[in-house]
Amino acid sequence: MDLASFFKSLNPAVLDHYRRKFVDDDSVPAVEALVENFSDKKWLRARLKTMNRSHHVALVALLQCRGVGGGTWLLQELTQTHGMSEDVWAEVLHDLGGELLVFGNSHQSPPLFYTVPEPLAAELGRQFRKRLGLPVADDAEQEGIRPSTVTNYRHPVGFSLISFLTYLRQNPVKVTRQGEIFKKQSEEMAAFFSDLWGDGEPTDVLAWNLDFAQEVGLLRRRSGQLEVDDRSVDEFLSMEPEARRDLYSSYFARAEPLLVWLLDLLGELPAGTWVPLTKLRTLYRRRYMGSVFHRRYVRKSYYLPPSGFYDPNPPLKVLQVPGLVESGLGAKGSYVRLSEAGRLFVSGEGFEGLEHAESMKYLLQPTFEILAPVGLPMRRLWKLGEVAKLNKVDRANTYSLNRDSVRAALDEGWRPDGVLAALKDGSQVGVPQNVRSTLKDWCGRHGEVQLHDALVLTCEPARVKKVRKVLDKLEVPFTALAETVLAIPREESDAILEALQSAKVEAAPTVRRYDLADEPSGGAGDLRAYIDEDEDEDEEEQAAFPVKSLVMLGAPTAEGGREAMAARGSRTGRTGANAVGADLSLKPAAAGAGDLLKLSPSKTMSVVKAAIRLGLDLEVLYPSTGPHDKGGLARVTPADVKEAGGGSYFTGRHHRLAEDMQFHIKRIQGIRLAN
Amino acid sequence: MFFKPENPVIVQGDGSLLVEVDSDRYAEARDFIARFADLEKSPEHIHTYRMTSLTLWNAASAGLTAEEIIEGITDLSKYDVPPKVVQDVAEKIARSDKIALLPADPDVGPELLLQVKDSAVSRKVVANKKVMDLTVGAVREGLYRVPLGNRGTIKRALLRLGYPVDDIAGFVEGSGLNIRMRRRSVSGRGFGLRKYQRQAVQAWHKEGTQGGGHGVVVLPCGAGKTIVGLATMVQTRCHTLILATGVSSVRQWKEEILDKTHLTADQVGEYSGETKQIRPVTVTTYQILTHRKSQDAEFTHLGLFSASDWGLIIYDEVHLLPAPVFRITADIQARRRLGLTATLVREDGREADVFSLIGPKRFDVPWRVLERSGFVAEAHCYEVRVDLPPKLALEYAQKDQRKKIRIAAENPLKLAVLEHLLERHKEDKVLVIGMYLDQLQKVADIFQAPLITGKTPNSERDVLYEKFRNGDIRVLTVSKVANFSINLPDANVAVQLSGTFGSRQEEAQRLGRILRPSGGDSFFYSVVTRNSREQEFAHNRQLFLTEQGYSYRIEEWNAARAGARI
Repeated sequence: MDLASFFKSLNPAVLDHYRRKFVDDDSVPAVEALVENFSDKKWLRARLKTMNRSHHVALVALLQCRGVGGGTWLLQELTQTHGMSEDVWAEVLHDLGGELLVFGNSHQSPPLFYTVPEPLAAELGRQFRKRLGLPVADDAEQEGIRPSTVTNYRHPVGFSLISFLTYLRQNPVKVTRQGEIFKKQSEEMAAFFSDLWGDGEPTDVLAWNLDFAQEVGLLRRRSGQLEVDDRSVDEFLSMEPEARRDLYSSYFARAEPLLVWLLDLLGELPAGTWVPLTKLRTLYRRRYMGSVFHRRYVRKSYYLPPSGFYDPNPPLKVLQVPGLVESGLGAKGSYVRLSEAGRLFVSGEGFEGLEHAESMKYLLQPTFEILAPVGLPMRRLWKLGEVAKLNKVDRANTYSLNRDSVRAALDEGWRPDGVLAALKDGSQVGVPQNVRSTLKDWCGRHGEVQLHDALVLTCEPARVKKVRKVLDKLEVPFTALAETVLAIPREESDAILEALQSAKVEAAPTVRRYDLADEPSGGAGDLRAYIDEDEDEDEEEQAAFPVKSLVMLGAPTAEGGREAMAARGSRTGRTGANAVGADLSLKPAAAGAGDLLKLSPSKTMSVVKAAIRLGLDLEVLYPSTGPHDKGGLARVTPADVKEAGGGSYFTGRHHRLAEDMQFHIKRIQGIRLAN
Repeated sequence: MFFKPENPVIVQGDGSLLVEVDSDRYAEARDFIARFADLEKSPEHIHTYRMTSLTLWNAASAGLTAEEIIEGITDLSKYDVPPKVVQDVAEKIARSDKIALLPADPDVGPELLLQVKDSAVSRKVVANKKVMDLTVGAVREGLYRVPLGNRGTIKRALLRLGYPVDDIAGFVEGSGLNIRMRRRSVSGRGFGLRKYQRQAVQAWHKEGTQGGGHGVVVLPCGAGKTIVGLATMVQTRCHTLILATGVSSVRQWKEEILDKTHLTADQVGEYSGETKQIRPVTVTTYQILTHRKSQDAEFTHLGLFSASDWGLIIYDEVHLLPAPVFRITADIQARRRLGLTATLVREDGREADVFSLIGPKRFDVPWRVLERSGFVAEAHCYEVRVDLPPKLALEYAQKDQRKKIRIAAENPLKLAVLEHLLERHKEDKVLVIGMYLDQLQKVADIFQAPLITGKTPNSERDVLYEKFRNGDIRVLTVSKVANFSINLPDANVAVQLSGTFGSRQEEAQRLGRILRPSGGDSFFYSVVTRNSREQEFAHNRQLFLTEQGYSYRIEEWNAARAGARI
């Protein structure tokens, strides 16, 4: 919305106020004059100069909130960050209301929301450009800051992830019914990886890898165990570094959409510049809550869920663990900055860095021990883990070839000559004679029963001839397993389907799959779909700003405020205990409508408990619950909360499935109170 | 994480250092790292060194600082040095000068004095009952009285607490002995120390300073460990007790002493089951020292340690040190001590006890380095795999693990392999080595190859060894008695028919029998039954040697071919 549209869409009373305050010449149409004034930088600067510092501070805070701030919350925010009392800040904002720069949406004091209308915010943003971004430490501070030795993770991300997946492939890890790893196994894993992950806290790196791998589908649960999804891994390894970078980016955005914004913001600073952590938190908090308020304001959902529903602290660990952000300690406190890897990431390059030394190979020794150093191409590292036992993870991983590892590889579909060829290709010194000879012994008679990677084409007997003709014409090699059963190359399936359709043979358009997993796999392309999904999630950002609901601070209008509230029930005017001024206990029926948020398990739990207490339904984004359910958003009436062992769940009525069932807190991908 | 591919070292999080042998900076890296880390493995392309508390403490006592070590390895490293390693090095080096063992002060009493230089460490020491039980009171805070007999035990206890003791209480000089090396041996050959032997002696002796006079020298079989022992005796010039593995070994020590030094026969004694001589230089066996009449009785001959004023005790094949000798060694810390071995590998994992009681590893040289220099014979190792005959294969499948091992070890087709190998090496001197006497007896009978076992009288053994040396016997069959210290310089082929399960040191020692250079290459054959437990054991047995850079060539033996004659 531009300035002209904004002024034109204002209700006449508000426009009249503008005209009287800012337009001297009555002969000029008001809108035209206002647009001219507000788009004149000098004029606007002059207006702002007449105000004092606290007015500027309040305006900057509101602009950092994307122009919308919850009334009580904003006053608390200003008090906590800049001192002075909430009453003084209310006065300051009232003054700004008098300047027609800040509005409310209700007549109560403070209003439910303070706002700077979008078109004005754009003009004001230009005036305060330098103060809206990240404040950096001054030169003297910069010099005294020492990078932390505890929280700066420098493990090679790709190498570490592939080693981790290899470990899980070779050492199946059991999970609880709630999908959590048993503590003992978790500790064993952290210990196993401690030499590689020891730069930081191994348990954090473990948690990050586990979450990432599960979130993007590299790992899935099957028969009570975590299982590596080979097809997803294959897709992951086939991705260009840039595409993998997008995948990580999508993961960050899923963890918290503002993380990518934060990365970009840090990326705009000169390399190596430290940012005071408290100031970064302030900016992040304002942006985060601003987004919340913006959405609520746009949707006119004026109440918030219980206190603690929102977590306005940046989950920096999500970025720190893969080494994108590093922290430091100076005389004045903690600082953060973008690491070198982070800078590569922001600039759009693959940040796994060392994993792309394509020529690098491992060392296969006559002791049957293999040293695989950091920097090895990820696919080579993964393939090695398919045939050799991972013994130790470090700057150079140690693997050993033994009868069991080789037999396991053969069981997984490797061919004996394939094992030897892969080792020959991957080892910088070839395969020592004793190893080669022993491998042949180990392979023995393996292969008497084999699995073949091909698609199976079946057809009615009457159509066999025509199908074969089509295949011949396409020059696709095939093997007839029986008269009406043909094995065809997987990669030719699309061409074959197309050719069959052209030949008027009615072929089913999709490949029929026999997936026996607990959770159905999405098939090839899952990871790319994961990235694409993330790009579709901004629709709320596009919603129009409701100009009509603006209420002048201290000047009653016909719209908004009290009338809007009256439609929803009476309100006493007192504010409740939560951070944004809404008291759930006062108006439970309207509580929580709005954002579908992915929350930490403890916060998810508190929302569920509150819903049970207040007798409300929930809307829960939940993955598939079985073969007949594709998952998705479901309305649920929660009944009871259970906290058991390593995880928690609640029981409730799933409205769509019309079933009472358990919902594992950790699997909940989004939750909100249903209207 | 930085990456400098041109650098030769990978520093692992567990403190091991992988060094690329083919790098231009290899020599620089090796020389630097050897100052504070032990060479653990030296296969063809990558050598593994390990930093341990002991190696770092030794480095610190030689004047190396933590900063120098970290700076050096960072400069040589391909990747970041793990912060954990940096911290570990700093912590361990910082511990190295916290505790010292001082000579007795006549004003205080006859006991040694344990000085703890740091009050925090002192509190830790005082809180440790095991350590305090070994003291007899404090002179003041940080200074404790330690009876002379507890010198070794308290050092070991403090080491377990994580603090090395700087032992500057000194050594007793022992009764003096005028001993000099000959320039030409009695047998008439010119004689002088090789460079590495001289370096080993210097590393052990440390010019007579407090830091020297105890420790272990590791040299490959055939590299002249006995000579290093003689050279240390010349350096210390005192009464010496030598502990060896068996009577044959005792005799060889005596022969070497008399051949290469000016000592006379009446100055060199043998203390064994047959003879009980105590002379200025006495050579004895571990067996006699650990002899006792019953399981509950006292050890009969441990008094030998105090039978003379020994100034030096030499432990030959120190990796075999039995437990009672460990204990007595803890009590004789005032004597200079030298441990000699080719394979400091104990299947019981007590290598650290050897280091703490005898002293740290002072010198080590990779086997292949000496091979390249021509000091030990170039060895070619083979694993010959042979099937079980079908009838035995069925029996094998039905038996329990123990019996399986025996069946595989005594596979009769191995004799056909042996026949073939003897034919292949018909001009060479061959040792046939095994574990099972029935099998060896068969070999002896079929191939007319005299058999030496534990029951063979020493006199008879000596005769057979002599015949083998002078060529009257071309093939000698030996049981595990010949695993150690048998000097058969002319043997250049060894055929191992069976062995003690997966023992790495046995494999290495057996190879060692044929490493004494006689001009040509050596051949070591290990005959194993294919697809059996024995093949798995063979894999483990070969580890020490493959880690030393040897590689085994696998020969598949065709059963039909094997059955042709035997």
